[in-house]
Amino acid sequence: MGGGDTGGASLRGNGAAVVARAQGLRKVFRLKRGRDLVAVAGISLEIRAGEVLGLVGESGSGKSTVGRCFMRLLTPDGGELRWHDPDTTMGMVFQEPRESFNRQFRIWQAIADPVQAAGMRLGDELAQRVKAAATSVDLSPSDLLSGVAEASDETLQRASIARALVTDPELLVLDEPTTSLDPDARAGVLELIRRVRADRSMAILLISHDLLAVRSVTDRLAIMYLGKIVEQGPTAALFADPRHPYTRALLESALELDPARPPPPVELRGEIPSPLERPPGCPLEPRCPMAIDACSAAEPVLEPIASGHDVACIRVSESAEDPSLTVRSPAGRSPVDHRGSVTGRPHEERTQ
Amino acid sequence: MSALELDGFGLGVDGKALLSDVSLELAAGRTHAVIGERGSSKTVMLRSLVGMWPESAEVSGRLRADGLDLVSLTARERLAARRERLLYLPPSGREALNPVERVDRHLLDVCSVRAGWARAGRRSRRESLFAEAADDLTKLGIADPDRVLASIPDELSGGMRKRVLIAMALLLKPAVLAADDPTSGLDVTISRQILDLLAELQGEEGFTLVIATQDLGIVAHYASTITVLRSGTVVEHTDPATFFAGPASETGAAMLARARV
Repeated sequence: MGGGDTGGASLRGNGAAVVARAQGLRKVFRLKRGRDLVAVAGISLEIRAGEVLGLVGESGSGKSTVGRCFMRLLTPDGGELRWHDPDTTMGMVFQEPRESFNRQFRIWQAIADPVQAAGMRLGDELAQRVKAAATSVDLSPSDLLSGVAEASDETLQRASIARALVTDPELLVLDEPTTSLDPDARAGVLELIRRVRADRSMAILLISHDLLAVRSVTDRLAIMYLGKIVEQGPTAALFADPRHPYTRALLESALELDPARPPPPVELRGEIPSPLERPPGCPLEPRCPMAIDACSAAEPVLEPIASGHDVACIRVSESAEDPSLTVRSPAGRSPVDHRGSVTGRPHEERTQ
Repeated sequence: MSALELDGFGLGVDGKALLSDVSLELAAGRTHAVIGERGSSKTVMLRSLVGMWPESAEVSGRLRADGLDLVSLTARERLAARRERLLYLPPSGREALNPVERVDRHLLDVCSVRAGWARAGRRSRRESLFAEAADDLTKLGIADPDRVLASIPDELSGGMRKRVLIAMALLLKPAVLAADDPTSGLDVTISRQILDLLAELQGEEGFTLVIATQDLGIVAHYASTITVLRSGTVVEHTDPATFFAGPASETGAAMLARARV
């Protein structure tokens, strides 16, 4: 996987080779009665070799649709999607392991399937490939011989990762790989992702609704809300200095494992609206504790606030000026009431 | 005062023990967490606390809930108690609600139960209960009650379905509310809204809340006691401060270690 010079001359990143890039990507689902559901409303994203990019958002944010577009499972309706090579190899791990396997298969058959589909015959080479993939996810020979229908959720999720790795992909897309697992299995699968990242130099897109769960495995994060990326940057920067009200709300919602440190109140109102009823202007405006009139006037664009750290919020400068707005750092955080401190003195200098 | 008292309580089905020798006292008006790994009988425990077990189940020991000796009651009497004082809040609104019935029908059904099937003046009482319930929906964070009342469950989000279940539960003015995995399938911000809502309602209505969960974050901030289950037996019963300082049971310690990964 030598870099961006294999055919996609346009794919130059800063430093590591860009394996895939979306620019202004849009995906619209046509519904009955002529209604359009805008699942992805124009996003730009780069996935580089050797990094884990976390795509985080709640259900309905469009994050799985982005993953499926990268996998060529969906055709975009607008914008541009490029891979560094037209033949970039890809693997995907789906959310529900049980539903993404043929129940008649044994585990080894399921893992061998993608290489067989690519034309390799049964034989020593195929056996080697399957064995290597299975070893890298800690599946034992007896696991390989067991039937899909009898396997546990965790075994299936490991097999699912092995199946994605068996073609030695340059791009690996993991769609909520831990959501359907219980906490025990979840810890195991996260550990596995950490190991895959260390051992191979592929680009990994990790889609999740759980910001805290992906913290320790991602290099960069992109936070999605209603089809848009609202904040992106290095994982450490996002946790140290979250600037978009939505990123803050996701962090504030997390419950720490310490009864002595009560969580701050969550200021986000209501629920994510239907993508059929996108609010005008900033998508978060109807729920946002910091919203002012200007927020509904125009959709904010991603603007850099630090190297590689972009935020789409017209009030981003205020959230930096006011120290009381700073969300608790992961260690030692305290309850803050930032609604009071914001509405108390409205700033208007960045209205557009 | 204890809302729930269990003394050597056991429950088995077809000769298989699902709960054995459970002795607990859970204080009234507080929130209690029941934790345990998958298959530890959390759900069986929660259902038992409100007297939900099949007639064929083998029940032993004692279980008093809100002053009622559930073990000695007949199935019919336990059902009557569940209609008034003891409630089970199921984990998923999708499975617990009738997919072809509108939300207002669900609420009306509960109102019928409260109005009493055979009582005179039932119809007008039912109507007034329903009107009251519909007015209260905004308090449950349902911003546009008219739309929700006219929807079928599949047209609602997971969080909204959960709110509907809570609305139905509150109509019955429960003394004990057993919430089985109340945040399952919900996004983080919505989970917090639902937990805060349950805590707030508990403050207003004073019911005893029992929450079964695998999420120790919930336990740390919403519960006043923790009961750790393993294969249907209680291996630890303590308060959150003690538990998070160092669980006494192996199961508790393993769960905490994994949660901290």
